[in-house]
Amino acid sequence: MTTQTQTQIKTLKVRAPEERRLGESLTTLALRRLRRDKLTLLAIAILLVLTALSILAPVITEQLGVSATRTNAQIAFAPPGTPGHILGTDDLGRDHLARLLYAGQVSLSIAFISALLSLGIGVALGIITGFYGGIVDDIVNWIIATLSSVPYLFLLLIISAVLRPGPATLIIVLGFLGWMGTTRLVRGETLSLREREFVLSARAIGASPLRIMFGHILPNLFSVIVVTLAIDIGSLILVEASLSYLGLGVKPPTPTWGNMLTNAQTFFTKGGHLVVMPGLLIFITVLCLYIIGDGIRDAFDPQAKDR
Amino acid sequence: MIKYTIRRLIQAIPIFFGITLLSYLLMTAAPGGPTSALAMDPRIPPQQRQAMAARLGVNDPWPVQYLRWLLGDDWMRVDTDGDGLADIARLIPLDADGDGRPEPAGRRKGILRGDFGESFFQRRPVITMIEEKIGPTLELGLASLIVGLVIGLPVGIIAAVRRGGWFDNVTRVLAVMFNAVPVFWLGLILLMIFSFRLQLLPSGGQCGLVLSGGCPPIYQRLEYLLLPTLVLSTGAIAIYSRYIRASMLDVIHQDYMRTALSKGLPGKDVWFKHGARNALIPLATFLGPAITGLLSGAVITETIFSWPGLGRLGVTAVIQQDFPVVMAVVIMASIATILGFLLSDILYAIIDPRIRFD
Amino acid sequence: MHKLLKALLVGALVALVVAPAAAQDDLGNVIIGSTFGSTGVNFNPITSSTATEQDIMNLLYPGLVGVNPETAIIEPNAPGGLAKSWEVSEDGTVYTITLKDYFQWSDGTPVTANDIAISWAAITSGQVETPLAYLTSYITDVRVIDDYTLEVTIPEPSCESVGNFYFQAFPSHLVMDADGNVDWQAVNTMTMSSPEDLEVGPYALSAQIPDQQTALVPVAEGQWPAEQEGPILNDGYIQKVVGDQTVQIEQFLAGEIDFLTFVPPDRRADIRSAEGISSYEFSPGDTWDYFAVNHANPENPQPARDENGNLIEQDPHPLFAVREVRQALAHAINMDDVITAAVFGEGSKMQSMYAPGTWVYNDEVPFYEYDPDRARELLAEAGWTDEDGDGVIECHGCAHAEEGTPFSFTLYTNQGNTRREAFGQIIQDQLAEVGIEVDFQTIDFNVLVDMLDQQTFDAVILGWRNSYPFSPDYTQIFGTSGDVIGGSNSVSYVSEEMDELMRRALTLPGCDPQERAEIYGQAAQLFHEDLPYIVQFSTNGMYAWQDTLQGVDPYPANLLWNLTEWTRTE
Repeated sequence: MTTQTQTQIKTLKVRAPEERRLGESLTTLALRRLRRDKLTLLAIAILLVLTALSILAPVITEQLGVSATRTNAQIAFAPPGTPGHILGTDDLGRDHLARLLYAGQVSLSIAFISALLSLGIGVALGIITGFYGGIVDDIVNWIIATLSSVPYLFLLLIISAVLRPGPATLIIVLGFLGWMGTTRLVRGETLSLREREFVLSARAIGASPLRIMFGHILPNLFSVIVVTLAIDIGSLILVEASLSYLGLGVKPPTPTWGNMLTNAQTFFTKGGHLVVMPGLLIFITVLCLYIIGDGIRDAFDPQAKDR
Repeated sequence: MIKYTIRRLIQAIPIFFGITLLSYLLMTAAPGGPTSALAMDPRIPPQQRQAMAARLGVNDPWPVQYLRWLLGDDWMRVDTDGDGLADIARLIPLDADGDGRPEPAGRRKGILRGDFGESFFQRRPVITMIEEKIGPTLELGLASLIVGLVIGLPVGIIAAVRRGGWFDNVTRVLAVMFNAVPVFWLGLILLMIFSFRLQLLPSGGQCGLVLSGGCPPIYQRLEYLLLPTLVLSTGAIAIYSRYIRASMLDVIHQDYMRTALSKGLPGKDVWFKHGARNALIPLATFLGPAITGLLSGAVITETIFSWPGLGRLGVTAVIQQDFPVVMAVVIMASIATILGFLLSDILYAIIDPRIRFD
Repeated sequence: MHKLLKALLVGALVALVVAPAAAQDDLGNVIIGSTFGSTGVNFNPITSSTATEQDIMNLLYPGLVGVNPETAIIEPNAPGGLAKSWEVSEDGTVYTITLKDYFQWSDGTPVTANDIAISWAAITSGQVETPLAYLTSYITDVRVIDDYTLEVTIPEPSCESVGNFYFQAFPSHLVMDADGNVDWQAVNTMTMSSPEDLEVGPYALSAQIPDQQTALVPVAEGQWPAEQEGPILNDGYIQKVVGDQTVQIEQFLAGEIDFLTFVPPDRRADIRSAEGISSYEFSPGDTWDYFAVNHANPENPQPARDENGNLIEQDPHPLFAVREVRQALAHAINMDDVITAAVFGEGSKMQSMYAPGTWVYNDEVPFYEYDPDRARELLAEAGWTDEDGDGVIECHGCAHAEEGTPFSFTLYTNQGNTRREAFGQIIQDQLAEVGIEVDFQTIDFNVLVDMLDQQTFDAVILGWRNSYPFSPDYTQIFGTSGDVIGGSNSVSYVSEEMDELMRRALTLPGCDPQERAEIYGQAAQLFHEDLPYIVQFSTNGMYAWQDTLQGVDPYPANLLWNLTEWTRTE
């Protein structure tokens, strides 16, 4: 027992917070840490490849001579590896790879744009409320408390019931429902940054509030923003899939990974690959985004120890 | 203490009204208005639809409709002479459908007095439908909360104590992985494996089929609770364990921990007695968000596992456009969340002496 | 802390393993069926409106008329029907119906003519909200002559009239006083959903768990006239609720459900090859899906006739008003592909609104061959060619559109129906081959129905479910009387010839089936030429049940007619 305790104290000492190298900025330190975080780097690489493939969907499908809309009932449910259809075909004989790529475009852009939207709202409101406080803060706090008192999916349910959203509306809805957490986070950070020397000195030399908020405080929120963005995109991809399962997401024929997965459920026995691929893509993408979020958070954490 | 509680309660009031206003405004924005679902049956003649619309008051301005929904209409149309027809009208016309006769006296009491109206489809009070579903949802939610804590806490504590060790890394990866799987997908896979291939567990429902009576008491049907709880608590386990790990790590760096360890106290005792206890304090703040998370998760879990709870009621109502039910479910879920947040704050205030009740 | 956790964990596991199995009822001889969504809550036959509730009500209350399961014809003295015999007046408008006198409510009160007439009184009282209100178009009066005699008057003679005599018995003695005054408020609010409520049989309500199950048990000994109406051989029927279709099929394959009234086409091969499961397949099934276009301009929807009954000149649809264009569309779609993809080959092509196998089917009506070249030719003749080389044909001398208008339109179907989604995507793809641009969208069912009611759509994929017994009368759907706002002739197909054929077949003196079939055959031929709908197919029917069930004896579109005689052995 005692020996064990001893070693642990030692470990603690060894892992005491690393002092920053002299003159090294937090960003440089973080980048140095990131470069050593193989897992995060791998996740970033996979995500970039997936994104690139989706963006290049028209080019790739043209090169392969396949189409996401060309139906052919005669070759429905062809398994992966069928000549001409690398990942097989779906229930209507459409090329599965082509469908997945186009679905990726839709899924990723819905998640990415709405995450950006909610981030924009969240950061702006967070900085403003953190910086000014007072009545603005109170009102925004009330709105946040109200919105976050309705369980997220229920709020989405009621909005879906009313709007029956297509991709564009869905982006806006998701964007306007997801900013509260970011605002809270950013507001907290801003509150502490507000009292820091560089802000005080900027004030002293008479910089405008706008300049202080977005010129001085915003850059210091970089890591918070990147982490939030990564995790938000991930969870939004999952939300889109859940909505599809409930029949309230993006409607076919517009493909998304979520509605492809939901649709394929019924074809379990006929075409297993139709179930596996969209599920796997959702899983991998979300996993990568979460790992990236985690990795960046660790890298930027001033108290974190080098691993 | 009591003063603090009362103050927090008062603070919750504007939030509650915000929610009612928000959900009401959303509902009135539905294409064709909240009665469009009634028009779905093409056999209902147009006159009957119009009469129905007038009776439901959808032609009134929305603030009036909101007030009616919130406070009822028994004070808007009052019958003083007992003939069943109203003779006093406030805010709304006496004769809404224009047939030359005053309308019957208002009967609705409004949601503030527990009257959520009548379901468009089931033609019975929404509140009885809600009452039926609260039990099952509570059952599933509590079970998942308990499982989440029972597994999440030790995992988080051990991961923090053995920071950087294999256990920490494995649980970290697992936590992220479980969070990255679509819930409905996980549920279906588990069903396929445990219910249909291995035939070990029931494939849904709250209890077995019965010819007479109802569901037996909960301890006799735990096997029905197992799979849905598992699915609903995976996310919770992942989140709780990460949360408690972070909180434990904060504690580890506190001076008293180092002091205790350096005094040569047995390590296990230090970690669990001093460390864990203090690390648990922030967990109190977690109750509110946990309730939101569980309720949201329940929507999908209940659908997959045919669990007769609030979430499934909400989904069915949305699909049928049964607005009184949708609204009631949303309001109920929000009340649960508000109470959760409130309870967290009060608990936190009790546990952590640093908070002063001013 | 640690120990406590350990103890909790162990305790939970132990509890789970040794938990006494719930004191289960013996379900050995209970038939288990399934439904989606939620359990029924209102079993009042006058006010109830869901299919799930109707399934249960059919086992609680007899209807006015019954169907011979073998012939699928409404006959006097059929099982499950109150009518013992009927006579028709000479002008064909008054039916004098004599009722069976051996049915009784569970409180011992006999079932009488009043119990049927009350539905009609409720409809016309204006104080009861009932889905039966549409019957006022088909019935003018229901009169009680004596306890076991009714007189039903219809507006004009019709060969399908008894199909509308759809009233179920309601315990009138509970709401009617000695003078015949009825407490309408009571009729409106009774849900008849408690086991204590009255029923006739063969079953009575028992354990109901919201959104889980509705259980029925046989009525008390002596209440059910087993001698005349058949014995009750099982111990009950449970309607179980499932949340998800995949789960439903798997539960059936695992033996947790005894029978399925519909097997999704993609799972039929699994069912056929599964051991211990029997199935019954029939074609045509009772549903068919169609692709139709609006014949009139959606910007200017008009009824077919004015207030005086004179035809109104329709504002033609810029694309579809020309018959040859509709024929081109029919040639451009390969229905074999559609059936393969949408229902995995488990369907039948239809030349008209009548599927092969129905008694009015006319096999001389040809199909439109899949022939894209012919389609292009027809389109070119109608003034639609692609001259700017963008792959989409545009108007060059067409009849109703502006010069240069591209042939492009929006096609809607309701969301959540994979069969129609597949249908639409194939249409979209195959019409693109002949230079037609289709924007295919799935939208909410209510929104779509509203659009059809208002006649403001270009093209639509939807379906009809045939009534049981099958009625070949399509006056409401293809007749001019249905071309009104909210009517069922949403495509504005205006043909006096069709009106006349439907009227003649429906009111044929003597109602000789062969003669009627001939007239409906002419209507099918007219459908083929005019194309009120472009293409359509029916999904074949399939029932499946466990081999542990005995006594299952299905007919097309009728599986449950002898449910009381089913038994289950392990």
